[in-house]
Amino acid sequence: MRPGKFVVDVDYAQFYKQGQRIGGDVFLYSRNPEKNRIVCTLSDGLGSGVKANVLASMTAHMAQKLSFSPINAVHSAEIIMNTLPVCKERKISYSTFSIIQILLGEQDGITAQLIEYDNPRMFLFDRSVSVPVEQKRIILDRPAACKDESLSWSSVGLENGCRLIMMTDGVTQSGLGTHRYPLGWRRSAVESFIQQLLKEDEDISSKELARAIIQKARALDAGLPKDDITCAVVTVRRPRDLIIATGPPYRESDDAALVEQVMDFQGKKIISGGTTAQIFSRECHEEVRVDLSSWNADIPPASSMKGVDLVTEGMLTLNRVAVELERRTPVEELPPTAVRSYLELLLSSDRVFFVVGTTINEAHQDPNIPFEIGIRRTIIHRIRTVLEDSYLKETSLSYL
Amino acid sequence: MKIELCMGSSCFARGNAAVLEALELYASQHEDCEIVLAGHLCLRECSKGPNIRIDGELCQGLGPREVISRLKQLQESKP
Ligand code: FES
Repeated sequence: MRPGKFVVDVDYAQFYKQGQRIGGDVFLYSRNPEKNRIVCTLSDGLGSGVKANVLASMTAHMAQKLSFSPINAVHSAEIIMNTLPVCKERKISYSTFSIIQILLGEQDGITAQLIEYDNPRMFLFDRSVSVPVEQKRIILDRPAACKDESLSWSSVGLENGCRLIMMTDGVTQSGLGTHRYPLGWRRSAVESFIQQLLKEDEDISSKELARAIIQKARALDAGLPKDDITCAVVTVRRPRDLIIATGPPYRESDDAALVEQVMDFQGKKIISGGTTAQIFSRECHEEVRVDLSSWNADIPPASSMKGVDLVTEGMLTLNRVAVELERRTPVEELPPTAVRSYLELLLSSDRVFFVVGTTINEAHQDPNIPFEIGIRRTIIHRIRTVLEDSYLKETSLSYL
Repeated sequence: MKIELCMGSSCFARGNAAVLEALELYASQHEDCEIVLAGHLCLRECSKGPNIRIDGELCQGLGPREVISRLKQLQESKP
């Protein structure tokens, strides 16, 4: 886990053009194995549907690959542009793009390089204030194109509370031709909209902010998007921490230490497992109540205990949590069981600390419980892997 | 009548999920008999589960149908 004081929360939201099942807007983001670099690319392929999607994906994937190579940002962008075909009829490039390369320094300094080609200009916000970004224009030599083509490049330092917001023209041009917005929503109106949202809720997550923006754009298109609408947000903020205690400690004499570690933790808390919950109940002199209002045939009900955000059954629940994370099921689509609450807590956290007790639970040697759920450490390993690889969370693990 | 069901991993997987479902249905159809359902963490009787307690009395290894008929019996025997 990177010891830094801040984390970078990246997320996006998207609607496809009315009637299309595939998008011409493609957003990608990834982190290098050393975890000190994050690259996000938003690309908009000319037109819509499959052809646009192929072009935009190609652009975005190239940008991701090049950004992790030692080639500098501007040169990378030039390579992409010279690889991209130019539309014969319209004499314009097939795909526009914006790239954010984030470098997480040793001393908590976070810098970002922004490279933009023909997408609406990105926004930089410091809390709810829009900060102008100084851009350098770089003219490109592209014989195939009919107009002078240029890239813009900037470098900015990011502090706690800073956000970068990028979007495709489906956002800025939404509402085009309507009485209220004859020229579309436009960048300056989008800016005031974002400002208002941030004034109302400075701590809004990247996901929620992106979603609010595209929902507004879709509303301006009277609910039927005339183009793909995509918005991506990068937020720098203090990490949200979550601790998960699962399994009774190997030595009973460690019970008190486990309970103390969890109860003193600054952040959210989950107790995963009935026996573990009983240890907490005993040590804290707090009652654990089973809540029969939300369960189904596969997932036992959650419980509640004062001072803990979620108390669940152990292996059946954890196993399903692993499966749903691996399937990348959107939380909203899950039935209202403990698994859903579990995923909500996991996904709204940046750093997850697992404390795993290693006592073997005899109940799980029971032949009625499917074999694959029996091994706590295996499941925790699966959950950690998917959290780190697919959701870019940081995790740590300790055994007791 | 108070019925506590063990909602621990073992009892849940061994059949208490189905028992709870049956009891919820029964309770909704017999509102006059005042059944209170409550969940319980592992009762440490896993190997003999699924475990439930009816008015404090431990009943082990019963499936949904058996629990419902036990319930009916108890209610009929009441004055
Ligand atoms: S799970 Fe019911 S007694 Fe252990």
